[in-house]
Amino acid sequence: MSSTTLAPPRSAVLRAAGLRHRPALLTLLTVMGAISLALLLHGWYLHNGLDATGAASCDPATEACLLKYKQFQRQYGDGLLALDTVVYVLGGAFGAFLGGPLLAREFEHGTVRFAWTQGAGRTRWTAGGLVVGGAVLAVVGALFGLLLRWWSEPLVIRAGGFSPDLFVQAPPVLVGRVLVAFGVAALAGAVLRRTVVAVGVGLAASVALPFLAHAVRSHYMTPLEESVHTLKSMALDDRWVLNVWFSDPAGNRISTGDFYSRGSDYTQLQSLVRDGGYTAHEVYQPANRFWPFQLIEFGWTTLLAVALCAAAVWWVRRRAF
Amino acid sequence: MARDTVIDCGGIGKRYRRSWALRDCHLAVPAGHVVALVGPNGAGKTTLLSLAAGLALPTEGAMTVLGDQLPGSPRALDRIGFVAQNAALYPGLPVRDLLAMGRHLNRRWDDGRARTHLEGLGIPLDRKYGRLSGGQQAQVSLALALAKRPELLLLDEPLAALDPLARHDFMAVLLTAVAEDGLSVVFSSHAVNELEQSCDYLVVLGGGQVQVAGEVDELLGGHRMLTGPTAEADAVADRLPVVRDRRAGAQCHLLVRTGGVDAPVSGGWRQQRVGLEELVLAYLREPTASALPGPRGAVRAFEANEKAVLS
Repeated sequence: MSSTTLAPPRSAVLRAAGLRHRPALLTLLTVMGAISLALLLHGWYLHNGLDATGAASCDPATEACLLKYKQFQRQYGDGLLALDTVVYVLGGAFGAFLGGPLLAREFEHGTVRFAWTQGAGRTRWTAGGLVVGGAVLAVVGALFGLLLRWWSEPLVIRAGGFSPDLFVQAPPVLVGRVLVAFGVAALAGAVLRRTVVAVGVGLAASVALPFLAHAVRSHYMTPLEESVHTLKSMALDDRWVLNVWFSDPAGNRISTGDFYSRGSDYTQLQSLVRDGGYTAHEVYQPANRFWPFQLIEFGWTTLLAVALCAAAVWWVRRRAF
Repeated sequence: MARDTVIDCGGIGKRYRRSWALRDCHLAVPAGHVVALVGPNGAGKTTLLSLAAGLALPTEGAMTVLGDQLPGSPRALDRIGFVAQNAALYPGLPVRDLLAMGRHLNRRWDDGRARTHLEGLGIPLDRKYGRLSGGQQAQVSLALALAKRPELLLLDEPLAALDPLARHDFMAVLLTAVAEDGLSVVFSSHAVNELEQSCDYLVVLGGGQVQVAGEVDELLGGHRMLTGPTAEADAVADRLPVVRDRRAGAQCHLLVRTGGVDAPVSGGWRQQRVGLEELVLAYLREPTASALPGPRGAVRAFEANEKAVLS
């Protein structure tokens, strides 16, 4: 028997993996479709509200605009913040729901004994499933991210794109997060062989990741610093202010507590920085770093997800005997 | 290692956590047989088949399949079909998708054979696997395994969950494939009473070791059931290897290995050939008895020396 090729081509393994995971992928698309429809309707309602109150078209630095926005919140913003929190915490969850059963259910149902004894072998089969699942998740995640970004525009107007809950809803970061949840759940499924536990581990990772990412996000690029002579926040752009420190007229750095002790109220402190030679130094990430930051975060989370999937394949290949 | 073996293991062992499922297991199954693997629950049947299919690695020792292939290697996976216990496949997929999966996952694939097989049994290809009856599920699993045109087919308890009619249909398909392709089959089974029609080679596992291994005809020809006076039983047992010794009052029944001839005993004894079921049950009841290709020579040597004394 000639045996130059000992396994079917990779594309065939991917097609087989597509057939095997089709029911799960269709379920995912149905659920995400239903959620998207709800968000679409709610988003349409919110955008109508913005137009009706004029909160989106005014200069956000003006007092009048703030009032318009507050009116928008009173009229249309019921539950908006709660919903935003839910999206923040559970945004990556669907990755865990797809990744958890991917390998764990094969063990639970005993189907590994069929899948791993085919000519393609267990390594290609496992890798094929992860590639198909990951690719579909990436597309679904990107589309869902676009929808979320549009839906959360009313919040971005006020809080800025860098606010922790809104930053993770943009497509690149959301895709990375979903893939990490997928990879963690798949690896947990390979090791623990229990679907429910694997999904739980994936959910936990999906919830924890935004907090971890937020803790390191400000270090992606060296922040800029600007000296200002006012205490009023200047709503010039969507910059992400990390912190503010003060120096006295001689140019020496003084602690924030020290600075606040030199004036009895806001007006006095304001006059200190405006006329008294004191300087406020704003340390910030400029607004135009939003997309570079998105891509940096997408990059490392996706690499992490790929590493997790590779670990799952390694486990199946070396340890699952 | 000989190229004409389908399973060859010398002293393999498999441990799950603290307990050994197989220990010091020696077995060489020649090609071209339908091999029945029998033994009590926990004897290591599933473990042995999993090792041969490449689903598990032995803790100690080495095993080869189809001559000199390592179980689980691409070449072995290509040429071995495996049907798992309870024929577990994806319940949510229609039969047609399962066939397509098999086609995509194997280099050798005979789609026409699988379709003819299933259509001949009236199994609808668009029905989900989970909605088929137990017998139909087993047939689908068998069709998937046979479509690979395997040289060795491993089946783990294929009949356990089937009603008698489904068992009959299953074995009919299996034996037809054996006749057409000349493939070797190793299946584990509890259905001791049905073995005689289906297998021509027997392996009995007990306590993680091989108790009996041999061609059915040779095994049946090599054993005799002796019935005679209990008073003389010990004398016979001293000279012949006794598999099972049952004594009831003045009469006793001894199942002995004779190596293919009648036992050299006096006229007070009646000797009969035994059926396969009786033979298997006797060995299962006596886990310490064994009949392996090795000891048979010893029995023959004994015959030559002792025949005169006994008669």
